[in-house]
Amino acid sequence: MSDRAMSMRYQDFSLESEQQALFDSFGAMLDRECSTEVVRAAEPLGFDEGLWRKFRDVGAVTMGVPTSEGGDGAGLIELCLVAEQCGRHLAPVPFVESTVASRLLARSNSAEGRAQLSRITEEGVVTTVAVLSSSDGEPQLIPAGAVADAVVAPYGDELVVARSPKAPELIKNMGTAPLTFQALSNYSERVALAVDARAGDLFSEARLEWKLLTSAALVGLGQSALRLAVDYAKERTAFGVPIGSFQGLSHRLANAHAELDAVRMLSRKAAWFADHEPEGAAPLILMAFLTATRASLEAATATIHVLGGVGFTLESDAQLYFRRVKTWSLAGADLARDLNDISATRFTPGASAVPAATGAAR
Amino acid sequence: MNFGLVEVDEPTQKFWNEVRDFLDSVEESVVEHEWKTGDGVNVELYRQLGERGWLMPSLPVEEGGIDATPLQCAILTKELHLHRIPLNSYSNTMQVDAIIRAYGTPELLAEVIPGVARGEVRFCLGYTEPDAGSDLASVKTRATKDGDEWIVSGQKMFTTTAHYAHYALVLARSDPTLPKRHGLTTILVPLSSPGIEITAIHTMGVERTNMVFFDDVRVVDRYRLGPVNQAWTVMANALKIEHGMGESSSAHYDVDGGLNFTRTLALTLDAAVEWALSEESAGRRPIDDVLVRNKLAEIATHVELGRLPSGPVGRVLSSEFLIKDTADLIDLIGARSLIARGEPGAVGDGWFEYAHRFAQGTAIYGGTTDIHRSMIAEQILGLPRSRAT
Repeated sequence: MSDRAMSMRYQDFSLESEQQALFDSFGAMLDRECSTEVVRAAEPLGFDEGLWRKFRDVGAVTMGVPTSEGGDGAGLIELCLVAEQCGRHLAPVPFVESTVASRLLARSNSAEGRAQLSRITEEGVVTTVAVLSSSDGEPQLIPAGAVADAVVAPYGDELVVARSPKAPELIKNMGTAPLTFQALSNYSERVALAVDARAGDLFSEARLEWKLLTSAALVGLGQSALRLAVDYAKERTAFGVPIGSFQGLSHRLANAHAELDAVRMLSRKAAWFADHEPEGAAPLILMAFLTATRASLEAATATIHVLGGVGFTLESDAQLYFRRVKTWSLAGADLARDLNDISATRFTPGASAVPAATGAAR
Repeated sequence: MNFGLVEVDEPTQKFWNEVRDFLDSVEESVVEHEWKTGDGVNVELYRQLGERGWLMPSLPVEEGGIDATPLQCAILTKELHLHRIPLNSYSNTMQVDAIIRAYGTPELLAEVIPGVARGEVRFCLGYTEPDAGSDLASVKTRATKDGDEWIVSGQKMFTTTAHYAHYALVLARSDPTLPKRHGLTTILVPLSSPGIEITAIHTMGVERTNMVFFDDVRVVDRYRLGPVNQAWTVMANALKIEHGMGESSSAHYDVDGGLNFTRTLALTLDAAVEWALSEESAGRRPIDDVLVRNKLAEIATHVELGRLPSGPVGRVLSSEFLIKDTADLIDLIGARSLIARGEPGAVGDGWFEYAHRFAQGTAIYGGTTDIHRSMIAEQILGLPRSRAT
C-alpha cells in the first residue's frame, strides 16, 4: 500500500558474491548429480540416498543451523537459493523439511532439541516437520515422513519430537513424494521441546519457513518446466514454422515467465525480511507461497500443453514437473487461511475481533 | 540484497520536508484540475517545480538542477506519486530530452535544452498514427527534404500532452522507397510552426489526448535528431531510457511501485480498505466478512508482486492485475461503486468506477501488453519472432 510515512527503503535484489557462488555451485552440483533420470529412478519413494549423502557431504543439511549448534548459520536468503536449485532439478531429497526441522530444534533451545540435532549432524538421520498438523490423534500427512525417523509436530499443548526406530511407510501420492500418513501416537517415542504459547510460536515460525523455502523450490520447478516448453517450441514445427512463433503459445509462455520472475523477486524479498526484519516478514512469505503455487502450476500446465500429446505421456519430463506442484505445496496448505492472515496483518493489525477463516487458529 | 530503511541525514530530511510541504500546499487544486481536464500536466505547478530545480534535480545548479543525490531524486519521485501529481507531460519531456541530448547538434541543444529543467519547455511524442500503433514502422507521415528544410505532412494520433508541449518528436517517413523501418527519420517539430492543428481526443480514463495534423509544416534541418533514415536506431535507444525523475540512478530505492501501473492499484487498494473498515451495516463492517478480507488480501498480493519487476514483465503484470482487480472490486463493493465522483452515495468518492475505466487504457498505451508479451517471448525466452518485420 502507499504510505505517507517519510521513510525510504532500499530495493536491491543483487546477490552478494558468496550468495551467487552458492547458487551457482549448487546448480552445477545438481546438474551433475541430479538429471531427470535420477529423479525418475528415485520414484516412487521420491528419495535418493546417494544424493542426500552428497548434500550432507557438502554441508547442505546443516547449513541453516546456527553455528552455536554446530551448523553454518546460513540465513534464509542462502537457504532459499539452495531450495530454488533443488526445485529446478526436482532433487529427490528432503532439503526443505530437514532444514526447517533442524532450525526449529535449534530455536527450541532445549536439551531434547539439541539431542535430536546431534543425531542429525552426527548420525545423518532425517528429521522432518509435520507442517499440516492441526490435531493430535488423527492420522496426518507428513512431508518427508516416509524417509524420516523423527518428526517435529504439535501434540496437545506441546511441541514434540516423535521418533520411531525406522521411518513409517510411504503413502503413494501424485507427486511421488516421500509422504506418510501417520498418527503421532504411532511413533514409539515423543519428547517435548516446548509447551503452550511458546510451542505455538515455534511451530508457526517453522510453518512460515517451510512456506518460504517451498516458494523458492516451486519457482525453480516452474522455471525448469518453462525451459522445457521453450526449447520444445523452438524445435517443433507445425504448418511449416516453429510452434514458438505462434502467439497463442508464445504469449502463454511469456505470461508464465512474467509471473515466475516476479514471484522469484517476491520470494527473495520475503527471505531478506525473514533474515533482517522478521516482524514484517509473515505477510510477504504468505504472499510468496500463494503466488509461487499458482505461477509454478501455470508454468507446468502450459508446458504440458505446449508439448502437446507428448507432454501428456509418462515418457515426457513435463509430467515430472506437473505432478510435483500440488504435492510440494501440499495442495496449497491452507491458502484461504493464508489470505485471511495476510488481510488480518495488513488491514486490521492488533484486532483480535477478526475471526479465523476456517478451522482452528494456528 | 537489501530492503532496509535508508538512513536519512539532516540536510536530506530538510529537503524532504520542503518537498512535502510544497506538494501538500498544491495537491488539492492540482488534483482537482486534473479531474476536470485530464491534461496530464499542470502548467503552473510545472513551472514552479522547474523554478525549484526539481524537474531534473540531479543536474548541476547552473544547468537547472540542484545537484541532487540519488536519494533526493527518489524522494522527489515518491512524493510526486504520493501527491498524485500528473506526470504525463513530464515523462514525455524527459524521454525526448534524453534523445535530444544524445543526438542534437550543439546549436539545437543551446536552443531547447536550457528551458527544459526550468519547466519552460515541454515535449510530446509524435509516434502513433491512425494506421500505425503497435506496428510503428508503418507510419505514413511524410518528411520531404526541400533545400535546408523538411516539409512534414501527415497526421499523428494519441499525442498525449501535445496541447501543452512546445515541440513534438515526430517519426516520419523520409524515404518511401526503402523497406519499412529503414526509411524513417526523427524530427523535433516546433508546435508553433504554421500548418499545425491540434484537436482533443478524450478517453474513458479521464485523459485528454490529441490528434495532431501537419499540413506542409516546414522545419529547418537542424531539428532533425539522428541520421536521415535512421529513426529506428534512434527509437531503439530511446526505449532504453527509463523515463522519470532520475529513476535510473535511484533504481536501488523503493519509490513505491513508481515504475508501472501498480501505483494505481495501490491507491485502489487503499480506497477499498477504507471502504471495508468504515462502511457499516447492522453492526458489521465489510472487513468482518471473510470474502472481503480474502479479496483484499489477493489484491495486496498483486500490489506486492506487481511493484517488483520493471521492463516488459512489470508492464504486463501490473496492467493485467489492475484490469482484473478493479473489475472484481466493483463486484465486491456492489452497485454503489458505480456512482460517479461527487454524487451522493458514491463509494470512495467514485474512485472504483473511475479506476475500472482507467485500467483498460493501461493495456494499450506505450505499446500494448501483447507487444510486451512478444518482447518477453523473443528477447528473454529466445522464442522465434511471431510477426513479419
